[in-house]
Amino acid sequence: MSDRIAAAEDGIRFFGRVTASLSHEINNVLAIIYENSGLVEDLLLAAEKGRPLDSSRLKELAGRLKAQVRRGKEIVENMNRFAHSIDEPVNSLDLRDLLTLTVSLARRIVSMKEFEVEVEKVGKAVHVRTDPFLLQNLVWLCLDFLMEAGSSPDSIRLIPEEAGDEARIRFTGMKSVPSGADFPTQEQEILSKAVGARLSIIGGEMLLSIPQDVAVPPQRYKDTK
Amino acid sequence: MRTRILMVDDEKEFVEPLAERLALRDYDVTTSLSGEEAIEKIKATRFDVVVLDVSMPGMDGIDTLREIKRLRPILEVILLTGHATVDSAIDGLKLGAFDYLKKPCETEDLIVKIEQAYKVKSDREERIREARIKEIIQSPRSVLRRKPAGDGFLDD
Repeated sequence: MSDRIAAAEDGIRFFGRVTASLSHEINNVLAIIYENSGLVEDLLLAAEKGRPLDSSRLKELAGRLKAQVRRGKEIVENMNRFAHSIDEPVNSLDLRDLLTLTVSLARRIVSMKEFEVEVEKVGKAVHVRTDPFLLQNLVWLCLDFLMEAGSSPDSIRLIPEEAGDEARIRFTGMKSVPSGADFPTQEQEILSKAVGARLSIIGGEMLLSIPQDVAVPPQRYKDTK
Repeated sequence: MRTRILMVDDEKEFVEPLAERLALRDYDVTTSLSGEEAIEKIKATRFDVVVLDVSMPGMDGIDTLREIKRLRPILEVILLTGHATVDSAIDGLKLGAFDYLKKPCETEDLIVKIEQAYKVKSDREERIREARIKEIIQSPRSVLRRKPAGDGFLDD
């Protein structure tokens, strides 16, 4: 199977996993809204039957409902950003934004695996020109790999930085880092090649090095332009 | 006596209002935010029905169900599932869950299931009681042979 087809298949699987996870999150938000609004109804019904109505309680429930709507809005915005990451095969981006979005998309899956993942706040932008979708996919695979191979509970910190004429993402802070035969996985290799990236494990960290400007158009569109 | 329900879900913002709504309908409701916590509560307290989320971090709903059925075979469990996890709910039915509902579910549908599950549990408890009484009548010495149950008469 050609690398292009393999990368496309990986992309479809990634898209499916992310969409399934986000839809589950949205469903949870709807369930919470349903129960809290149902509780408001129940308290009002009880008040009609003579039970004293606590207005501060109603205020608290209204606040909870608004918080869930905000949460749902954030999920939908992330979903939209993710969907549009496929629009351009090459785009300039700040790695900080890409990592923040990818970690948000992975939030539920990370939580289910009993990990905590955070993006380190670095003051300076880290610019790359690459395929946003493929790079997100690769970051996702790296996180997935570390969570599968590690032992929970644990935490992973992602640090975007410039390294000479490359940009780099350090995956760090884990209790243990896998090494050896299973790294990199076939999917990681395919996507690394597609964006011109290199993966390595050094000194207890996983490093993903990316050229700051993709020299060759990513595999996704190579034969179609 | 009020029906004793244990609600198990890792989403606090979901389980707390639901528990309050059931309490307003005169159920005796306890909540747990994890499978592990639920198992500890089940060991310590008697419940009639468990309402259990399928998808939880750590000990998931199916593992929790398995352990509940090992500890308390006649305790009825209703599974709550999100859209992507109906397969898990079906696995749960095969493991002895009473039924499942998709989240979010109509409160009245949940109450109907709770009442049905409670009836099945009560009927089974009654039949066990009758069988034990018959055994004692037929063979009074059987009382001496019987090992005391973990925490009660019915669940060993």
